[in-house]
Amino acid sequence: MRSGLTLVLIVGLVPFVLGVGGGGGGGGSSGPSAEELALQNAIASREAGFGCQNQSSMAERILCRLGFPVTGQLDYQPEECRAKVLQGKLDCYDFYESVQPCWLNETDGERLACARTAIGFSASIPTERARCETLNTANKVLCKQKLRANVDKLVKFRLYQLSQKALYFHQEGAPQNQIVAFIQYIEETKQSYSAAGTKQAKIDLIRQVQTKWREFVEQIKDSLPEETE
Amino acid sequence: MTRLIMAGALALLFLSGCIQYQSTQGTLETPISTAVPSNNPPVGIQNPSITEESPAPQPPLAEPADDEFNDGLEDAIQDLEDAYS
Repeated sequence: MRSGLTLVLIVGLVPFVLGVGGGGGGGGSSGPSAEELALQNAIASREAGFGCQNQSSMAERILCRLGFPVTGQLDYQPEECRAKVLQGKLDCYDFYESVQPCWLNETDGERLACARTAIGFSASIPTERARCETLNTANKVLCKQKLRANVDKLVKFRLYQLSQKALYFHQEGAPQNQIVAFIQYIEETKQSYSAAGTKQAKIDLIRQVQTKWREFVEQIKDSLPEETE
Repeated sequence: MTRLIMAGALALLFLSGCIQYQSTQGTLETPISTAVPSNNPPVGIQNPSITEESPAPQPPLAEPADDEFNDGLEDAIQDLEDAYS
């Protein structure tokens, strides 16, 4: 009877003891802070479901995900997010996750409208800017910053859309190496766009993509079925 | 006295026999249809309409016709102009 009671006490105490022990690990001053640990855990949790993470080069990762079906969910790590850390990485995942369902729409226009909503636009950009102008000085600055950040996301979505079209051309028979090279170019451009500090620098990058897109289409057109042209 | 007890015991035995017989008759009178499972298929046979999996339709990756070669980036430049104006 007494040994039974002791066993019950031990079994009951184990979770409590383990719980106390687990909570004491984050208190060290030399390691990452509790906030950083929480972010790292959140990032690890998001990345657990991603495919194509073992490839060392960007081209290899793009090649790996060429055959992924459109599911409306983020099932790979976007290259742009790969280059970011902590909260920036989580924000990046949030953006890419939010626009994934948009690929399930059939036309460019529907996809763009979907992305505008996902990003947070509730009106046209001139209208939203006019709204910012009605605010007091401090809020006006914040409002314009938010609007420009959202426009940057929309621009990146348009670049992303070109990658998706390239995937479509791949399905239609365009050469794999040209598809991978173009998607890699778009991925690198998105990172350059994030680093661009001025409106003009951003517009210059977009102009370069336009030129590259025209070249790309000329390269692959002959490999597409007749009705696609 | 002993005979009386013996008679009583026999009477009880007879009565319990009668009750058992009557309950057996009652079971046989139960309608057969309620004793047989109604619409369940025999074990091992499955309904093909339930088990067959139809392939999920795969959505198209891009717009099939008119503007698949359009980059749409002029609008992106206009968006930037509007945001920074």
